[in-house]
Amino acid sequence: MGIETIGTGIKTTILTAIATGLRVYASNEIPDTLELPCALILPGESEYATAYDVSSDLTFRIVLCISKQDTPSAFSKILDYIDTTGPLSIWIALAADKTMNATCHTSKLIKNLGVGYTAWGNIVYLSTEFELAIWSKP
Amino acid sequence: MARVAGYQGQVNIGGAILGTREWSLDEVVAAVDSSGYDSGQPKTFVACQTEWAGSFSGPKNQRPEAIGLPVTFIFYEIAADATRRWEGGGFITSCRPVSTVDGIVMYSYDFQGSGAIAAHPTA
Repeated sequence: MGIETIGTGIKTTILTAIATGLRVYASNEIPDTLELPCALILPGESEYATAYDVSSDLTFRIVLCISKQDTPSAFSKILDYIDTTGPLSIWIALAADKTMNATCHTSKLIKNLGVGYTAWGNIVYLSTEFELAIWSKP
Repeated sequence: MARVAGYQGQVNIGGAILGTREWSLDEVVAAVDSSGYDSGQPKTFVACQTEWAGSFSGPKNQRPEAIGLPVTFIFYEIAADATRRWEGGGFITSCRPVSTVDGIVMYSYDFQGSGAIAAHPTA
């Protein structure tokens, strides 16, 4: 599957579990301005030809933006997404369907990079980032 | 002779073993010491019986292969090119699944050829 298809599969998987309150942008839907809170699904590091049959090992970055930087109190809202329990947990959302809506062999949420800032369209947002490993299939 | 990129390979046992990442094959002939008093100081050897064996491995993609059953192996250097294949009968002697928390399930197999290698690469 292509990056675009898998990115859409990740979006579907997240929205299936986190039905309200989070805008998710697939890899082919990246906007110039963000509607908050939102998750941006961005392609990360890729490794091609990892088996004789056509396959590749991909990494996706899921950047979660909560608010603009001038409201640092919003950092506390990120905790529910980083947590491994609860209705907003990205971990639980992605573990519910490791095939990302049948777009890959399997996947694993590798890590969360902690809270920080993301600059997007000349605006700085409070954010956190997840790293998702994807073992793809043709 | 042009070089051959390894990613074009394939292991086939009645069908491609999808997910395979590598294969290796050893074809050897037993070099038996035939030295006698008449040979003097240098040892002499005679090529005797041949045998072949090897291994292949990769991520799990399907039901594991059975051990001990007679099968026909085809090891392709280039899957689409029959002139670049090793083929012969034999059986799998060991199957080693490995599962790690930070990776995917991997399978590795050892095999033993039985009889001659029916086809060597001709290109």
